[in-house]
Amino acid sequence: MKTFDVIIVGAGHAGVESAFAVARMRGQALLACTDLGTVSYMACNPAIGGTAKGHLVREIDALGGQMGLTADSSLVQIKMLNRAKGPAVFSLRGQQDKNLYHEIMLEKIQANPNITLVENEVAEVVVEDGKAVGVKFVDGTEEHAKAVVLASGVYLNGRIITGDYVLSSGPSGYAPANSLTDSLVELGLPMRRFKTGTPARIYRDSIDFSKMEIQLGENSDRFSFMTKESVFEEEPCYLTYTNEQTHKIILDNIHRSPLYNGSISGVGPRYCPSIEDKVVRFKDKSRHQIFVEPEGLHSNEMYIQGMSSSLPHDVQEKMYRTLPGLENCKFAKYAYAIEYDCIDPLALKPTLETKAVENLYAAGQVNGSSGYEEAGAQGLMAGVNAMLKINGKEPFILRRDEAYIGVLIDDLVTKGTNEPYRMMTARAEHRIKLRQDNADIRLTEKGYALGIVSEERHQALLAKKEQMALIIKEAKKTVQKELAEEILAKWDEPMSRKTPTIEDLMKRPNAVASDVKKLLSFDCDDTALDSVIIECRYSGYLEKEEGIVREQKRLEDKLLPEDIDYFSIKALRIEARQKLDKVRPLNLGQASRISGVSPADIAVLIVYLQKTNR
Amino acid sequence: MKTIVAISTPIGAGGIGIVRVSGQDARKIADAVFFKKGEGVGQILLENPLKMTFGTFVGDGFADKGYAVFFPENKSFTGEDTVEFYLHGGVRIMQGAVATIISKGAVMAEAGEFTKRAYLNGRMSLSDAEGVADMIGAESSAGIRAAYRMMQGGITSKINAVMDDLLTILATLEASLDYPDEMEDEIMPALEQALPEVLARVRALAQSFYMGRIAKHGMEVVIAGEPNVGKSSLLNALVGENRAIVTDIAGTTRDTVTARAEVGGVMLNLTDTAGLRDSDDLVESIGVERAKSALKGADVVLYVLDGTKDTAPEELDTDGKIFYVYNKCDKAGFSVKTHGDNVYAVSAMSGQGVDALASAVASIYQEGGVSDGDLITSQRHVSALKSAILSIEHAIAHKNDTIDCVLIDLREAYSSLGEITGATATEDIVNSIFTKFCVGK
Repeated sequence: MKTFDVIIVGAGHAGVESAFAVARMRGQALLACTDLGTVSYMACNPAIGGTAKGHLVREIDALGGQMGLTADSSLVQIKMLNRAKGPAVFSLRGQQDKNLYHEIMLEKIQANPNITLVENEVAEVVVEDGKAVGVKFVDGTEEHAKAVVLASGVYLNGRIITGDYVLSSGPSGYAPANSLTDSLVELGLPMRRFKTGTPARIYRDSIDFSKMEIQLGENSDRFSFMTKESVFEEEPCYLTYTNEQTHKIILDNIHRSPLYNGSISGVGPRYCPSIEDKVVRFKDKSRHQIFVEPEGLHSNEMYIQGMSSSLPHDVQEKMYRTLPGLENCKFAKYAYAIEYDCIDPLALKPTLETKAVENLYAAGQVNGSSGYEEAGAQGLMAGVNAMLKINGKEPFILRRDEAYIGVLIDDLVTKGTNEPYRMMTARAEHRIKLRQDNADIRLTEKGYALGIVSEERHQALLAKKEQMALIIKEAKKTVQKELAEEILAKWDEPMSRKTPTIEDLMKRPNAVASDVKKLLSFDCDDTALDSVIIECRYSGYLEKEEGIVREQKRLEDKLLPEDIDYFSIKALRIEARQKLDKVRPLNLGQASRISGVSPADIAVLIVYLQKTNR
Repeated sequence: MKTIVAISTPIGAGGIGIVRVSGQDARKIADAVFFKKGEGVGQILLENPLKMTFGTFVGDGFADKGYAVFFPENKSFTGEDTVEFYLHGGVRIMQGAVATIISKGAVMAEAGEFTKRAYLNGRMSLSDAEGVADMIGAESSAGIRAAYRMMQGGITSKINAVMDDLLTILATLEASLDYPDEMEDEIMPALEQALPEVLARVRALAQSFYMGRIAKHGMEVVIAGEPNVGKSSLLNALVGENRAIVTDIAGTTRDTVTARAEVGGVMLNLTDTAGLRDSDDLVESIGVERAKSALKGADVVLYVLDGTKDTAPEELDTDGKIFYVYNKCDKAGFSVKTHGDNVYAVSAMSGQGVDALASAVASIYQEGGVSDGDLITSQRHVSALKSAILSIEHAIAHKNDTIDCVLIDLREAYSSLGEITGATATEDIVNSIFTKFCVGK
């Protein structure tokens, strides 16, 4: 019998990245799922990336993860969002062929000698002496390992709801996992119920696209730093709108919505409201945007983004058919809301290990997050930390100023969340540093040191850094006056009094990389040049940000003892004592971000630390 | 922490004085020094928390009748067991009571220590604590009012209102980044209309610091003019005592002389200066230099002129408000040479017109158009407001930079203001996006 290092429960976006990370660190991973069809299954929209999520994909990729590569191989459209709003918020979004994505991942997992994929439902986490040592399946068999990663997605006690029809089910008709929750409760994990939803899938041949606006991609960038050339057949998306009639049907039938008649108890996400939520909450909005996206290349199913709903099927049919182009639409799958059990992430350490059970980790939607990318990022981190732990090494924790992944996990384990947590650029206070263009510079070397980044990827990073250094050096050169005038005129920028250097030109707001490139004596890599131009143009802001980060780091460096008894520090307000005891922050920086801990409480902790250090 | 004691009222002023004891031994100490007729020692205060108990304070070598109140730790200002004694306010009794309490195991409180403990025990926010600190340091009744209003949240609510509007701008811009398809039309109005309005309001708040400083430290009033026009006499008349030496000899006042007077609740910090003239006398010329530097820091200048002589006022180098004071109005040949609402006729010798002048000076404080509750009194608040102003100005000046950069400044501005109220940018922005806008799919 094979012995495993890590057992991963669930083979969705979190579980799969976890398994790959374990495998790269030369661990043996057992990846268990309820159905092979659920492997890397995109249960909701057929897209990867988007604002902030695109950053996560780049970071997963920079750390040697699989998501970006597979997404690049299953594109039907790709676009860089926010081009006019600044490099910090450039975000890649790709429309994916969701079956192809699943198939590529399944193939890669099955081909990996360090990963064993099985179809068997886990019923219990086996714990000995407070440590997770394996899992028990519903059929009574057991498997043992040194650590367990929970990545159960939305499957725990899943319930699908439309109107007053409730079905015990996972997403898209996959079976729910109804046994594991009891075991987790018994282990002392605080469980709760969240809700999310998905819109209907409509048959392509029942849609009149001539009544909609066509939406095309731009086919310039790719997710992975390692994807050099890739060709794909593009599929357009379409835009249509709801109207007064749609809203009237919804409002007339709102009493039949489980969200409004009280039969849904789970907390839903505010950023992903159902159409009935939007119509009720924003009554003065006369129309809402609805995007129609293909589920895959030549797929006959179209995803109706923006029309998530838990209204009964007959109401769904009526309201969908009010949209221009959908007058005669036929439903392949109805929209539904889904409720599921998840863990309160405050019960987790920044390594994603549970506080209640040693060597038990959790990642993805089971931690109260939402989204493929958020799940993938956590899966990778949980896999890495599980391996580090069982090998007796220091944990791998990313700070908020190092990665969106750091922001994501810190938010979850420090602030907790009352709804499925979605990554947003607004959550990243050091956004200008955490760009998608420099994810490799920020993270690849860390990943290499951990053993999760391949030699090839590492070499690619070193080459890019070398290129950047060369460009920066050459950028000090003055540009010939006539040439500078010509370029500036082309950019619609005034000529400077002094003859500019290449760097001066790079700093101009209207600078165009391809023109700058011609000024260099060597043929440089486009991504390296882009990064240099961004760093030049934003140097003022970046320096300012560095100052803030240094300031914050002073607090991050003040470690709080693990065994600190917050209840004995009477100078702390009672709420602060309770919150600090619950979160048990690693350092003062993390403590300062806990809601309910005031600056005065931090002052008290500083005094306390000084006292105890004496 | 040790139990601390201090006299909480001005020593020697007022018929009743308060001695406050705070700390874990406060009640034990109180039981040892305070007795109620007909009752045994101890337990009296514990059984009657938050009630005034009449009894006898038995000090070392004296006894005084008065009241005591016990505040249990969850009901006290400091968050510790506290006992306050209300005794007769004489110096001997007050100091005797403190000495007695110290002999029972307490230590003398350092300046502001009650407040510090209240703060460390989580009994007040940073902003509250500063309000209390200001109250302790309040130097005049106007200062006390401002400090009191700040504790009541006067400042906090003003700042909160501005922050709300700034937050809407932030949320609008942030939403446009996280929801690129949905918020495009909202960007320019937020930057071009709403932001300058917010800036104007933050500036107005910062300007009220000027008034806050007067409330807290008093108004700088400099008496200036040529030699021998009666500047020192005017100072003495305003103070009501012979503070400055007065002679008929021009140039008697060689150095600046200061004195304080409270008028209408406002503390006037009066500075008498050497007469402004070119002098060969080294000492006098240094005095003239000092007079000039005093003028620069003045809130108000009383420019004294001799009404019996024919001299026109000269231009003074000051940012303060100038009052033209024609002295010697009781003398023959007196006339006022200039006219306006800032021209006064007085007689420093007889006191005629001096009260009217003093009231006019004090009224500048109210004329600022800011009521007590709006005063920014703390230096920390001012610097927070100033950095918010700089950030917003930078954002406006660079509004053609990309939005991700503009937002760095605006988030910084919000955080600066949040230092006063304890708000945090990121959390507030994210919540605001979902409350205000219909975004998401």
